[in-house]
Amino acid sequence: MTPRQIGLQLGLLVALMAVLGIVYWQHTGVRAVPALINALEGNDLQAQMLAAQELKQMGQPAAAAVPTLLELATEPGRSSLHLEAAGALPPIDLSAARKVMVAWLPKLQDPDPQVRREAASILGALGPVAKPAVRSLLGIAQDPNTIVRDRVVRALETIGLPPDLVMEGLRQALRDPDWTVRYAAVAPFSFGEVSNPETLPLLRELTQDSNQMVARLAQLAVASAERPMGASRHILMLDQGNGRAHSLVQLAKLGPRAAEAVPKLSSLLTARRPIDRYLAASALESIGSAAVEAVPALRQSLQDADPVVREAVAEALRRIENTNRQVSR
Amino acid sequence: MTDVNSNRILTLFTLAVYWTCLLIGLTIPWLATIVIDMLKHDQTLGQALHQLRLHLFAPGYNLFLVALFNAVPFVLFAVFALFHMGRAPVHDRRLCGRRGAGVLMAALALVMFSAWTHAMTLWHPDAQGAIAYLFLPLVLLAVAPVAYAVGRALAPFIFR
Repeated sequence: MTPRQIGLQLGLLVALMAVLGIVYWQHTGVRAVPALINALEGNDLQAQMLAAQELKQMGQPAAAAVPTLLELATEPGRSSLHLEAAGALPPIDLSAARKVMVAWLPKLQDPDPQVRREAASILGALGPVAKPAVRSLLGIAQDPNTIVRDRVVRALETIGLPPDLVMEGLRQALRDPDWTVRYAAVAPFSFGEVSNPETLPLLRELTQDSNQMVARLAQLAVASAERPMGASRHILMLDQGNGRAHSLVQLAKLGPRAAEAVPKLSSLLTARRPIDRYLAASALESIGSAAVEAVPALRQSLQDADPVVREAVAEALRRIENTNRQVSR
Repeated sequence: MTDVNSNRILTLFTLAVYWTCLLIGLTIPWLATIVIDMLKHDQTLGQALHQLRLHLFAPGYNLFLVALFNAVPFVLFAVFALFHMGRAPVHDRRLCGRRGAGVLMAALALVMFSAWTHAMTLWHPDAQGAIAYLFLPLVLLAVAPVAYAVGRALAPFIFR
């Protein structure tokens, strides 16, 4: 082959690579949003669910999809789609996620257990943004229907905030007469989640549970509680975009024990993603008086562009100032 | 006249290896997905193609990116084959035969190894399955020179 022929083949290869690059570029990031909205509006359930997942991963740049996601999460339809659409909203728009919460909260009191359990699942899918729904969830924690109780426990676990109320609900569920509910309640303690001294005796009791699966999981939970993890590991994770939300919730669960995270949490009050700012404020709230040095940063964040973040900041300030007042008395 | 013919054959062979490597390397993950969907999940060709289209850019699947990643060693090998065969001395038939056997053996090994890995990863799905996609290009880059050497070593027995 002549050098020219070889050059031509290499040129064609470069052209092929450029075409593939353009195709990838067109189908990712904000450019993919219109096509994903179309998929959401279609009739193919799998395509709708995958589109919701992709939009969730995109976060704020997918803002154009909020009305469609909101409609899918709240209007009567297929429950799996409700869950995906609701779960996609928090990283994109906190206020829209709160609207879903408001739409589903009254359904926790519905006479139909299927509606109650779907409502609990959707509130759980919203994650920590559904913090104001925790009291209502605790209100049906003794529901006569086992599946409803199971969904309530799972929802409490994924919402995670406020930690004291969530822990109270989980502790109740550890004594549930049905093993599936006990299993769901013990699971968060078994995988490195935060435990506390009040929970440990209950977990020890469960190691003798009549159900082997619950007993085995409780053994893991006891082992995990005996080696509590400090805040430092979660502080390190705060610099990694993907694991940041999880670490912020874990720090919030640690409460005053996460005091060493206060400077980092204060700096995250100006993070780009509203969900990070919201969770940073919530973590500072649960740290309480030990987060006093974050007060100036919190005061500045009272002007945050996102109303849900502003609300979380105000709650954090109230909690820190109240606990400080109590300490000084 | 014979040299002209030999040159044409060698050029065609080189181009065939070059483009086959590029296209097969890119499409092996997609073909594996389609075949596994049809064999394991009893889907029709149409359904399998629909699944492929849905999962090309879907988070957690990214079959488009998987294909690009899989194609990397194939592209490198194709470029090697283009120069190695394209610039081979046409008049030295023995050398051309040896190089051709080496290139063919390496291409075959790359295709077989990649197809088998993708098929097994999909047939036995596992949470850590994606690790196979990360390491496969590196393994293929190691497999290619070994297979080429084997091909060249076998060439004298084929082209006596």
